Amino acid sequence: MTVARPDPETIPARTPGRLRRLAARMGWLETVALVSLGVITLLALIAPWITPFDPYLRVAPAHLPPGWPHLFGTDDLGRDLFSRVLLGVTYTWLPGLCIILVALVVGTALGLAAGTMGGTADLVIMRLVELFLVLPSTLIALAVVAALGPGLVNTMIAITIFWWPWYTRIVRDEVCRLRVRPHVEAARIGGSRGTALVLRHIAPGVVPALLVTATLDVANVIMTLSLMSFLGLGQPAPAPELGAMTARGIDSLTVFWWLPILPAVAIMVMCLMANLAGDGLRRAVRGA
Amino acid sequence: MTEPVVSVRDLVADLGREAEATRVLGGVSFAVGAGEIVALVGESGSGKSTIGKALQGLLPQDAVRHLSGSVRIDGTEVIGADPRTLRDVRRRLVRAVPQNPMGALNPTMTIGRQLAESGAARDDAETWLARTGLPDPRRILAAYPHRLSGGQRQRVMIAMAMVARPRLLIADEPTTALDVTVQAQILDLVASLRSEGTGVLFVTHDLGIAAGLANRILVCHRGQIVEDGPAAQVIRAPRAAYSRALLRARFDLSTDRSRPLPTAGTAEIAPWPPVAKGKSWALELYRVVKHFPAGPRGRWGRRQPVRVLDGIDLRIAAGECVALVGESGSGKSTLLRIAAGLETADAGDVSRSGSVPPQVVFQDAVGALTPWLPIGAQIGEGLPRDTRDTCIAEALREVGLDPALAAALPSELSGGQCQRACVARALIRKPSVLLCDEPISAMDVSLAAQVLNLLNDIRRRAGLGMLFVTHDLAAARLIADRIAVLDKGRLVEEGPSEEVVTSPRAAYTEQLLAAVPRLSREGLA
Amino acid sequence: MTGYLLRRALGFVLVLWMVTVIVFALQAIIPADPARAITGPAAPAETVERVRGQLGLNDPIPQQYVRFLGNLARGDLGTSVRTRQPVADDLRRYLPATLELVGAAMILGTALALVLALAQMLLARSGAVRMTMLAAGSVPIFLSAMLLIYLFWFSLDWLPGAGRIGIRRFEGPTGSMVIDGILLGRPDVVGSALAHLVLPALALALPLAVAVGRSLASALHDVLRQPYAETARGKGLPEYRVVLRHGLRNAASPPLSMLGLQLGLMFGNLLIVERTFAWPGLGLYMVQSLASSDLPAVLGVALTFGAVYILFNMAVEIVQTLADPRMKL
Repeated sequence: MTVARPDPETIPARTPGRLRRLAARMGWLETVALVSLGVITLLALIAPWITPFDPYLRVAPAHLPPGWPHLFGTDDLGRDLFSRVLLGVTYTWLPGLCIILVALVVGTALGLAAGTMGGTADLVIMRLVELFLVLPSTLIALAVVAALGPGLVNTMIAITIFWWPWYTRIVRDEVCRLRVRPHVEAARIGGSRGTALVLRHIAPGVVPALLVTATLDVANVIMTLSLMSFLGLGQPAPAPELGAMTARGIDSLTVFWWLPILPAVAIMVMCLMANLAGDGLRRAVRGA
Repeated sequence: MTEPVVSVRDLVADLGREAEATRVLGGVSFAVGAGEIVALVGESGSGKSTIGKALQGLLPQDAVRHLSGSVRIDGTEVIGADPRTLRDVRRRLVRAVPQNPMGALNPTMTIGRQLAESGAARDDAETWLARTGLPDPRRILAAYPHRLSGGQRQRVMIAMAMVARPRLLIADEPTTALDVTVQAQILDLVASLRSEGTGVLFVTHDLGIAAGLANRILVCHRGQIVEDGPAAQVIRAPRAAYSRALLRARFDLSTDRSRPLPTAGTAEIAPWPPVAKGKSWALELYRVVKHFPAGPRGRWGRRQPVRVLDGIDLRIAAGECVALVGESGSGKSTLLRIAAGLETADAGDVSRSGSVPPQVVFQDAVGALTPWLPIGAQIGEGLPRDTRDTCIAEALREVGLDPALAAALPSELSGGQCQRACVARALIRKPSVLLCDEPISAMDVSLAAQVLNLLNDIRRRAGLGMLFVTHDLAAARLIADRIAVLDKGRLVEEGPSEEVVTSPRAAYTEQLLAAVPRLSREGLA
Repeated sequence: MTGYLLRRALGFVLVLWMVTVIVFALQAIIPADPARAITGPAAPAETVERVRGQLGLNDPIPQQYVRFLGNLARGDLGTSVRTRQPVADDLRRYLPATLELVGAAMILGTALALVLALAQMLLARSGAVRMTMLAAGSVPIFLSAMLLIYLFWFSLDWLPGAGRIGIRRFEGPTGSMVIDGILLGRPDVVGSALAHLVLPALALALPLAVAVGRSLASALHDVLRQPYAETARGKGLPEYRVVLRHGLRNAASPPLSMLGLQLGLMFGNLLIVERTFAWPGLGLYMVQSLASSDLPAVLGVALTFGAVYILFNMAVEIVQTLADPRMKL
């Protein structure tokens, strides 16, 4: 052949350890927070078996201040506050994750449908989403629980109903952004069609934005859950819900400060870890 | 040469975030005199834009790892100066015209206020707007940027820089984002600034533009000035090997089109073998019409349709290459998308031979590859499993890539490698038509020459029909047998390449031809 | 322009109508029988049935909904089970206190957000500001409320920790104690009302400030990397002028949306803040209604807040649209 071609270009060295690079871009504090999300999940799963005392029984005199062996002191019924907070993490964290997961599955499926099918399906789904998004969600969730009756399951249902539209919108916006990108058009011209096109060339591009939002949302959901619980809309007593524990202790704030403060601090730690991890992921994804 | 307004001595800069710093400038020295236009020529990554930023003291602070040397502007030292001095230098002494004027004006501020912020009295602002050739300066002062076209915005940017009567004007590729005909006008405007006594540092990748505009040419390569001399001399007898290579890779309307373009490492070049043109049409477009909803909004938010293609007839034979030339907004990309089946025509007919739909080579090669899939998987998508790997390897070799690259991700490849991979993906499906959408317009000269050679070679060997969409008549003439010129949705001219270039019939084609920069305009003749 | 405003108004009415549908649906699906609630658990079945008839609960659902809308139009939101008063009267009584608190929190929160965002943009150690915002954004509202009370009231005794005012029997025309005090020329009232307002408003403003501040900082970060910001620097403008003149205006849209969104979340926080600070407003009223399963009162408050929220967000959207010179209406 007469054409002058440069020699075949060599393979660039592949930088090893994508996870390590991600960690480097996130910052060490955020990486620790991301790992701690896993630790908290594990803790929440095994909490019922590792509480040092029975969280439902009187084990000591009432109103003991924090110390040994009752790390967080005891409550007004002489129950071990540390055991109750530990179990409270289970009661808050796992429902929070459940809500996010269900909302993610529903939201992503509808978002993908709206973004890729377009036309009437898009119009109907997105109108519904917009409607949900302009409604004051916390307020209506409160009203829904008030009408259905208090309880953890009702609270979870009410929150989930108002959570999925966010993910639908994110997924749909991302899909619409990606769909007109040259690589998707190139794949279409190359003969890729339908579900294969969506799953191979579009859906993976949605993951970063979704992952960041979902991680940050763990904090938001936990806040909302504990708010409901604080207002007495969660599981009835004696279930050790962190919000409810705070609400019961709040009137004795100036006398037995540990009763309302420590459960609230537990909520804060969970939210902080989720926020830190989410923010780190966001910065790593944006490359800022 | 007159007393220099700017003198740069041993400028060294290391840029990069955290540990990964790279030497972007390795000891740069030059000077610009008052009223002199100095062109700084180099390919992307040569450090030419960094020089411009360093002169303004605008290198991103968190990315500067090391900065030394001396930049004196009208007696003021810029390197190592405190922020207050730097601001004063930017306000009084050095102004810049950006590459892309579209984003360079604040969208929520009137032109008038932005000019006033630049230190212009109202009369002064009006005078300068008129001087840059803008009609009705008074109206423009009160307007928001979105009302202006790209060319108008660039004029505003030049006026905004010149109202401050700076000693030095840095123009960083001020025309690359504009249409070819507008480019020529802006270049004339820059040339006319000579009379103001302002020194101009004109940063460009195009030796042709530099030759036509500048008194002196600096050639920048890997952070070094490898050549510094009067424009005519640099063009006629370049001393540095790199300048010679740059000149050789350059093509314009008088380049020999009977053989491949010379690229690095090739000595003797045989002419193209004759191509056997097929009798059948590979692609036929018949009276294609397309509307877009782009006009003003009606009462209920509906946009009025605008006709972007107005009855286009175009035929491409097997083994033939037709170039479709036009400026942005002419409808050339829409026509390609209709031919590719990405859009449907509102009226008219598209027919093609063979069962494989036309394949497309896009302008943005990196963007045309899915970022998270390996190259090989994308090239071989949809092929039968048993022969896939051998087919992929063959296709990669065909376009001059190492078959081992099949496992690499697009981000691990260079832009040129990505474009080759895209060509491989198009070829592996054995289409009868290849559609190329400005495949070289974002590339440096040497890379563009390589890709042009590759495409030309492939269509000749495979007997493909090719539609080559471009805004560049020089590239069109090189690769295509016929050229069709598109203006505002209509074909204004169509004919054999050489004929269209040497004796154009349409006035619009003449305009386009006049705008193509030539080395022969000054110096070489 | 007119067409645009008309379309927005239509959208507002549509969403408000959806809220009434939801509220009505909630009333219709409640497990507890309102007739039974009125007559008491011991009443015989016939009495309950008679009351059901009187309340129109045996009519077809659409008819009930039309009656519900009619009542709503006349300002009749039903009778509170707990206070035995018309819900509309209760709302009127408690609304001013809440508006005062929410207004103060919005102003305080926006100001704080501005300070936080500018601090992050202009301070050298912006990482510290970012971490502070992250940490503050992770504090549940009841924790920050408790800490404020514990510190400024219990430990330091600088500010009152409960109620609206330290002066007995003060009534004014608007219901907002601060404004009434100014109108009636009573500096003692203004002082006392403001002192009582500080802590609850601060507690309520903190999450708002963090959310809006982060949104503004992020938008500013993007805007200041735009070419026109570079143009402004190239003119020799100092960085603070670049931020103020070119940054803020162009970065205003996302934080404004966030402000509207946060108003919705603030209603949830409002319940807790009013409960913790014993602030006699709609939030406390709702908390008490929730505790006694007083559904008409709960739904009445939800409807009121819903309308305020939707109206505010529509206003935000209209402002955003009108402020953008690129929008052709």
